[in-house]
Amino acid sequence: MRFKVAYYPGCEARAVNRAADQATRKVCERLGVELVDLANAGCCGSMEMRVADPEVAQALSGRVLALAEATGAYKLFTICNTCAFNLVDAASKYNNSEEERSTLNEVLGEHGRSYRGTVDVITLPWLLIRLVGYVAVREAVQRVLTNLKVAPFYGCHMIRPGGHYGFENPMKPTSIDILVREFLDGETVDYPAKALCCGFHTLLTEEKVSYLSIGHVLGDAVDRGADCVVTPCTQCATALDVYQGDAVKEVRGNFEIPILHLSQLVGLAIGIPGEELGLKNHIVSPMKLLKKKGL
Amino acid sequence: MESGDIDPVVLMRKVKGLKVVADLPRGLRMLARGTLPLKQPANPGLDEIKKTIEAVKRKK
Repeated sequence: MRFKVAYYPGCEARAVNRAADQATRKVCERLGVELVDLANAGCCGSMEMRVADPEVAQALSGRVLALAEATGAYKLFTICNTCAFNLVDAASKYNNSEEERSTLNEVLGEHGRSYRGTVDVITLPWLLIRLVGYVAVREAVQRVLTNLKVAPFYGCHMIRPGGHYGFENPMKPTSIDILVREFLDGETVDYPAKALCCGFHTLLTEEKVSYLSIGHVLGDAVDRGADCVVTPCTQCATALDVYQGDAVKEVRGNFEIPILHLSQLVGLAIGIPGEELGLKNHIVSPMKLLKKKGL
Repeated sequence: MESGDIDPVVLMRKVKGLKVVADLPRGLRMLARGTLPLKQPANPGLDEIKKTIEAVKRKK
């Protein structure tokens, strides 16, 4: 293995989008990244708890950071944008303030844990671009994606609020476009909705708002000629795939477009068989499209 | 948070109440595709997670 990172897939990947977790593990293994699972990690605080009780949510994120630090890894890698948002937020607080860290450690200390403030949080595009790097990914590529028109979908919490991350422009992100085009020799379509909200967090309370968001994003991608949508977030992937049928009806559309987690697309490009990437678990099956494109 | 993780089925049931019945067809499709667990296994850190939440609330 070339390097190790602490791995936190998040609740969505442990419950619904297990395919993304499966694909991420395969991709990392192939690229020489050792994923160290966090013992007993629970929820990061989620968006729901963040709204209901921000202090509890931040402490839960702090606990996850402490578990990551205890593995000896300095990077905590997650495949969920909301987890990234919560954890980056908590890290910026606990890594930079001794007072905040001390308050957290009073709570963690009851279970013999502590946090020294050494962990950085990363997502899949950052892992591939900054840690694995162009040369290693290129060397691993076995299949040409040239025929596949990919619509990158970034989602909100990996890029906004911009001050949290500093990795890319929060309104005009490019990391997935670069990965697909430069690292994987694929083709991307540019479409205005690629950095908008997927509607996941209003699905339970404002269903129609979510359907309109999903329908708008997907309709925009289809209008620009996309074959599939690719996202680095498990929650965005679930919203766009599982709720696609109702969303398309809501915007009076008549289309269907497969949704891939970024790990699945990278997996395909580096030669991992589709069945090992969980591609048969999708509600909108990508199998017909991938067969047609020779993937 | 009964399992230490967010359990989507429990969350839906609690937020939507009886209206969750309308989501049954979707749930069945997800079950058929293997994307929805019938029951989420409890996180091994559940007890610690609950006590962490209690400790934060106590210190307020």
